Amino acid sequence: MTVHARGYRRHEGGTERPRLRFLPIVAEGYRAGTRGKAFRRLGLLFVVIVVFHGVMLYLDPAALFPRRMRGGLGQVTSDDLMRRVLAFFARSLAGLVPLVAMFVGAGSVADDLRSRALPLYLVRPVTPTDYWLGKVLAPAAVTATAYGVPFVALVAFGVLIRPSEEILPFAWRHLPSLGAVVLHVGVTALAYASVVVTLSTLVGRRIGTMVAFAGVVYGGEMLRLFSQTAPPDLAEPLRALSLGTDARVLLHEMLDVTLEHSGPQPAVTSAVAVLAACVLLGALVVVRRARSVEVTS
Amino acid sequence: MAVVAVSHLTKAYGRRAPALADVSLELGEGVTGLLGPNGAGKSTLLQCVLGLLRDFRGTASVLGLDARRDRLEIRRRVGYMPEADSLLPGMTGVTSVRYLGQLSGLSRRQALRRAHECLHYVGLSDALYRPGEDYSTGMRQRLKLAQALVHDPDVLFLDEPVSGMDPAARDEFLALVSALARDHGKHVVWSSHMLPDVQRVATAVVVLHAGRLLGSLRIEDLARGGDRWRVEAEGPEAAFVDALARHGLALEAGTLESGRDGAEQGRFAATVRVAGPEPLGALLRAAAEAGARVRSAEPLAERLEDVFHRLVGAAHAGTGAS
Repeated sequence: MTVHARGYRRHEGGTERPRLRFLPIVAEGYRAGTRGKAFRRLGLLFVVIVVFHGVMLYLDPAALFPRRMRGGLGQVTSDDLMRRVLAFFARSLAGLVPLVAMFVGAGSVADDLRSRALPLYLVRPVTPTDYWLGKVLAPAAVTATAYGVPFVALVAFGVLIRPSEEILPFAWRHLPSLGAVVLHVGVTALAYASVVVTLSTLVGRRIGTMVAFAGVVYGGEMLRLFSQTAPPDLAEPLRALSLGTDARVLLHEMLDVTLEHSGPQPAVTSAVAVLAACVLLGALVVVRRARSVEVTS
Repeated sequence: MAVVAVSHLTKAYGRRAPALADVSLELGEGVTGLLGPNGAGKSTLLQCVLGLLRDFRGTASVLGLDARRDRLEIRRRVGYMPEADSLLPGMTGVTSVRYLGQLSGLSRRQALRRAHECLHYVGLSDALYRPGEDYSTGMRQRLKLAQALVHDPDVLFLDEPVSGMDPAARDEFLALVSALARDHGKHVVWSSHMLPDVQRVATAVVVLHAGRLLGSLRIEDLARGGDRWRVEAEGPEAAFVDALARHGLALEAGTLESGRDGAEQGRFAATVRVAGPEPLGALLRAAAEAGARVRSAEPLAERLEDVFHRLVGAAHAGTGAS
């Protein structure tokens, strides 16, 4: 039987003209990102950390407070405790969250460049901006899931351990805390995803991207710590180079919490500026790369 | 209706010589071959009509849609099969076709159904769930065709679609593309260096060279033979050659074969270029004048390869002269 004898069937359903053309790219990236063993193992680690914090919230709240406050812990309200646990949880996961973005996003553009798949996107009704949005939002969504679900679980746990008559009023009072957590998770995920996708575009190889990303994220953290000994003019820019700290500064601001032993912290405006710059730079790099793609014939 | 129409299209990259210089052409329905050596401007033409390049002078349209204004709509109605081994990393055959269908505007459910249909059509039913990276060269070509077909486009741009295929697979592929054009109304632009394949499948060709349009022709005109005739005659050979010249007919150098048949001295054969509206009459008049008798005269079917080389050679000569 020749191939054409099998018969070609025309498509009768028509095509859509969706406004969010990048959504299939996000969905596919999300599926690919949550499919691997690495994601499951990291997820398990996150569960362990959530349980640890839940236990701490339940059994040993004093551990969360500065030494000077521990004597008067009776005056600390359950609301303070909740906000501090959330801030503490964010700090505990600071080293792990970028790993999720790194594993999911390192190959996102690099693999397309290596396998020359970029033209396959751009000869379809997909603009370079759609491509960038899809490629950034996929690792951002996976990171937000990995980071946000435990966070929300912790909030729920903190609410549910209240005496039953306090649960609803307590939950109501902590809606702003939940909003702060959601915003913090979104900002963190978007910033890390933007950086990893930018590096993936510039480096063009998965392993190289991972190395560069680790350098940017953990190097930024070291520079922040180094800022204590830096000249005053340099100190603030160096403090703002740690993306994780920048995102946590926003969370602390929203929760109105200051954690002990957090090291030097950037001002909120510097933190916002650096986070926004990462996203904008990423957009510029990826869109420019996609525009320069050549369809050969 | 012109499937692809460009008018006075000029595109230059920086200060280099323009990749396309004032090109005007129309590609009609059916299968059209797009020919040209490397650097001819085929890629630039393709990028202009797909709206990937917008900073060109002149106009370009596909199915009446403006390449600058309606570029997304054009890409909905065009399927592109790249020459490069472009594969979506880490995806099976069916996943990659489904995904590209979704990017073209199909819902996930529709795209999955179309992916199965298209992969079945191109003969990859047995490899639906194998990673694309594990496919052989021929299978990859067929996968790329399925990807181009998934959203049921009206126009297909196929770039070196049979490169790397064995003869049997190539025959099957040519039949498949012919059937798409003939039975399903697809318009195909076939860009290739494999000229015999283009001649088999195309109804027309256009030739680009150094950013300029060298010419276009219909394949059926090749079969008619153009202006070259194979003539067998007997009689005074030299007088016949002189008579041809007097009637404005040209003997093609190196084609005169005297005494072809040892038993019949005085016979000769040659290829003659015959211009004008009445080629056979001119030949017969020349023969009569020379006292020769024409035993047979028939137009030679031209090969696309010869026409292509003639056009490109003439362009090179023109460039050299200038």
